[in-house]
Parts: sequence; structure tokens; C-alpha cells
Amino acid sequence: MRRRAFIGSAAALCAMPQALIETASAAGGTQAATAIIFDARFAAAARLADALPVRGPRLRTRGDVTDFGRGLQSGFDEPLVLHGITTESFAFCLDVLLRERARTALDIERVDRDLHRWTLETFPRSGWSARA
Amino acid sequence: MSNPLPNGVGAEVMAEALAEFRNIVGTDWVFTDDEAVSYRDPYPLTNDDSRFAAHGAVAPASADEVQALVATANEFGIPLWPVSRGKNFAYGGAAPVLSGSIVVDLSRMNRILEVNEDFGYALVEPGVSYFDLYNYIQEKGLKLWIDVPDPGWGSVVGNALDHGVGYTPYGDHFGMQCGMEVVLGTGELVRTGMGALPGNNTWQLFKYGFGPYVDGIFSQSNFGIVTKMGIWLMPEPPGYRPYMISFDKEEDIEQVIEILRPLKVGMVVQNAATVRSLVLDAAIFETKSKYYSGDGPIPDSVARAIMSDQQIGMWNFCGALYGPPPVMDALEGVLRDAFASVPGSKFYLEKDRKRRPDILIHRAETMRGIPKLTEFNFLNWDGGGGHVGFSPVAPITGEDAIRQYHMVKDRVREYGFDYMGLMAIGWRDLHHVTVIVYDKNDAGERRKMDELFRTMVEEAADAGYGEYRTHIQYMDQIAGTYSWNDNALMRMNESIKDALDPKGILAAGKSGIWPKHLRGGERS
Repeated sequence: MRRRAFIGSAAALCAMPQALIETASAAGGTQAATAIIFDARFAAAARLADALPVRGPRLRTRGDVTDFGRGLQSGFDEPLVLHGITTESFAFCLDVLLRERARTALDIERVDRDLHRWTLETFPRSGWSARA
Repeated sequence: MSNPLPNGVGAEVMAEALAEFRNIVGTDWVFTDDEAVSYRDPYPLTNDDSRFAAHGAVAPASADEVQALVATANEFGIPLWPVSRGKNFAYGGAAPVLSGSIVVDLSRMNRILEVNEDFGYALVEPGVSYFDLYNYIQEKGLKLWIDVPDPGWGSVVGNALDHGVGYTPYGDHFGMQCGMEVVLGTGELVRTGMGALPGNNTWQLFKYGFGPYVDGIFSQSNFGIVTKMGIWLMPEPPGYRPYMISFDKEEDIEQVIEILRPLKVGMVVQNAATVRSLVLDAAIFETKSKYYSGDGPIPDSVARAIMSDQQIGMWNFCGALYGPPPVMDALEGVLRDAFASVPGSKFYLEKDRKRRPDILIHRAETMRGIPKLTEFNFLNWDGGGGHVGFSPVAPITGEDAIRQYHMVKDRVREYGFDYMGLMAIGWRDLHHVTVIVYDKNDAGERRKMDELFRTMVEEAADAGYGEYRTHIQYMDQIAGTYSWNDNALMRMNESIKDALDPKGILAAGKSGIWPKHLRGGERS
């Protein structure tokens, strides 16, 4: 899998869940960021995202988490660590979606009027992740 | 802070009940302590963390398990708060009215039991989301469309039971419901309508069955837990043509709604169309900071700038035509002629919209039943991420529309918020839904929101307008506005409550209906 192929691709956002799962698995469950998601409408988000270290892809969004929700079909056996510089509702919605498949921990802080910086971690949970 | 216990239930009794719940559903499916945090309201309007806080949650997998949970709750006196998928955000989410309740999370009950293409219906459990049902239909290649509210992750059952709406001709979700299975507060399992006839083949075909039509009493209520529900689905039409008509001035809403009424009643407007305000539409794709760096509501000059940038009006009427092309051509002609009388109005089809992303392109997917989460973007208009819906009902008249618009807009702006409303056109009614976005992490803003909301409820009621749906924090207040004949409706609701849930263990306080032992006294 070519991680760089995912940068800037809207289609990549649909494939993101599978890409993240493969990245997390390959990393052997370490705590480094699996991916970074940033809101491409804001220059500040791109700048902040560029400064963050990441093992996997840097993914763009325009705030709509729909495509990620459509792509999410299975649970996570390996933990994910996602960093984001987005609007608040993107982080909220992503957390809600992932919480249907795993336990999550969302740490979020406001950066400016529009943007929030966040880290979202998933942890396998025998109950909910087995629902899929 | 430990999770609160409900009034009258001690820690030992709760522990015994939880142990029994674990025996029923399995240890993995009982959630206490930190795991109950996910059942909190994500958009709180109170600064009191002890309010609307579940003690824990339990997730059954079947109607049998629901019955067993209800029996146990009756034995120990444990208040339960059933939720289908718990996604009723802006109305409280999965949070209970009565603190200390145990949430009964029905999202594991997610079977699609039947989808019938010939008759156009589905029979589903409460854990089935719009995404689930849509994906199922696509995978099977069925020629059926579903009707979706704005967030696609909600429950088909839960949304209908809360009188939610969508935007196709099947937009009245509870109106499209046909037959249900319910666990009563006594633990008894009942099927309504034709479902009560053993061996029937019409449960999802004929709503009324024989005798009193009872399905409605299980909507927006606490008389039972719905474990299955039938819903009618629209056959895929031979043609689909979404359109948008923009209007330049605030005051146009009066003329627009007057024109709309006969078109809707006469079914020229075929779907549950909406007239959406400028800021609501602008906020789907952009944030306020792009246009305005000041505080408070945007000035008129900024409104004009947004209109120009996004090619939208002060009001934007989004509708769609469904049917064979000659029918759609005829209906389109009628619509164009009808609205041409509004100066400055512009009629658009999808091909006319050049900007991407675009509001008509986005709404076109919703009006054909494709579930999405795009509308959540409007929560970021001013960055705070919180929102609440204020939703009074009116007739489809210009006079009522402009009156309600000014009533709500003036109050909202007085409190420093932008007006973000829409008018959803039903069969004979207009739902004026105003979303107010606020900083959910700011205690002062929550206090301000609470004061604003309570004021608007009272003012609307004084003018004869009641809400169709509301947040858990306002259920008592709004139930109190339906007070005709010395609160006769509430007395009747309480009589039904006492009969179907004698120990009062189901959803205490839902829609202002309290069990006997909690009426008029201390509840937390």
C-alpha cells in the first residue's frame, strides 16, 4: 500500500478506515500517530498538520465526515491513534462513529475560532468491536 | 464524580440489579462507571453535571432480553431509559431525563427482518440505522428508496418514534410507520395493528388493525419499549429532478409560503420540501470567519456577501420532482410560473449550479434518500460545536411564517446568535425548525442558551404555537404549554402511564410524563 497515494484524495477518505487498520497493524500497535486529518479549508490547519509527525497518511477533509462513516465496515483489532486539526463537529462525529466499533478516548482543545486540535485513540473492546 | 443513583434507590439495590442485568445480557453488555460517560448529552444546556446523568447502561440483543430487563427493573424499582441508537443529538442524545436511570441501549438489536420490494416496506429492529437500511437495499439491488433525516446514523425506529422528518414524499416518518412490537412496562410483549392476528400477512400493509389504533401512544412517550417496527418505503421513481428556488429578501418568506400552500396541499410539491435560511445554508460549507470577524450576528452587508459568494438567497426553497419525465416537466412548469411572481427569485436545477460544493447538490442527495452526516457542518458556524433545535409548528400561511420568523429571529439575534432556521413543509403544517449553535464548553453561553430557549417556548405558546419535539431539558416546560382544559391531555397521559407501567420504571419524565411516585415532588 502506497501511503502517499492517499494525500489530497477524496476517495482516500472512503478508503481511510482500511488504510488505517493496515497501518496500525503494520506498526505493531505502537502509540505513534496512525494518521493526521486536517481541514483543508484553513491554511492554519495545513500548517499545523505539517508540523506533526505521523506514521501514516495526512488526509484532507472539508469538514464532512460522511465518507469516513460510509467506509467504516469493520471493527479495529489494533489501536488507532489519530491526530486532527479540524472543526469541532468533525472530531465529534468521528469519535461517535469509531465508538460504535471500539472504545475511544478523545482529547480535544480549541486552537482558534474555527479549529480544534485533537487526538483520538481507539482501543479494542470485546463487546462492541465484535458487533460487526 | 461517581455516577448518580436514582431517587429512592440505594447503592446495594442498584448493585444487585446490575448483577441480574449481567446475567440477562452478559457481562460485556452492562456499562457502568466511566463507560456510562458515552451516554451523556454531548450538547448540554445545563451547568449542573448531576442533571441528565445515567447511572449506567445495558445493551440487550433481543426482545426476550428486553422483557427480562423490564421484569428485573420492576423487581428492584430501577428506572430505565430506552434509546434506539442514542443519536438524538440536539434533543439530549442518549441522556435520561431522570438522573440515575439505566439506559437501555437497543443498538445491538440491529436486524433488518424483512424488506419487501413489491409492497415497499421494511420491518426493522431499533438498532438499524439509516446507513444500515440504505446499504442493505443497495447490496440487494432493490428498487426502493428510503427517507432520511439529516444525520444518517440515527435509528429508523427511533427517529420515527420521535416524530422526526425527512425530505422525500415519505418525509413524515411516523406517518409511514405500519405495525410495531412493544414491550410494555409490565414486561408483556404486544404487537399492534394486524400483528395481533396470528398467521397474518398484512402487519406492514394495513396500519389500523381492529379496535383502537394504539401505535401513536408509543411515540414520544414512555409507555413501552418498541422492539420491532414496520416502515413504508418509496419505490424508486422513473425520474428524479431536484430544484432550488432562491429569494433575495427576508420579507419574501411571507409571499413564498402563501404560494407554497396550495402547491403542497395540491401535491404539486411532492416531497417534504424545505425553505432554508441564508446562514443555515452558508454554514454547511463555510464558517462565519470567512465572511465576518466581528462578534454577534452578521450585519446585512455580510449577508449580501454570502449570497454573492455562494449564489444563494436569503431563503432557499429546495424541493424535488419524482416521476416520469413528462410529469416532471409539467410540474416544473407549474412551479416556475408560481414563483416567478416573487421579484428577484431564481429557479435552479442541478445543472445550473456551478460552485462546488453547493447546497442544491448536497440537498439533492438527501431528497433521494441517501444518508449523510454533512449537515453537522453547520455546528461549526461560530466554532463552538453545540446546537439545540427550537421547533414550533404553524399552518402553511405567509402570515404565520413571517410572524414566527420575526418572533424567533429577533430573540435569537438579541441574544447574540445568528438566525439559522428552516421551514419544513408537511402535509398541512409548517415545522419552523431553528437551530441555535453555541459554544458547548462555555458555561456562560449555556446559561444564555437556556434563558433564550425558555423565553422562546413561552412566547410561542402565548401566540398559540407549540413545539413538535424537544430537548430533555425542556420536556416539562413544553408539556405544560399543552394545557387546554386544565391539562386534560396530561391527565390522560398519566392514566395511560399508570395502566401500562404501574411501577413507573420506563423513561421517567419523557415528554413531561412522570410515574405516580415522582409526580409533583423531588426527583433527584
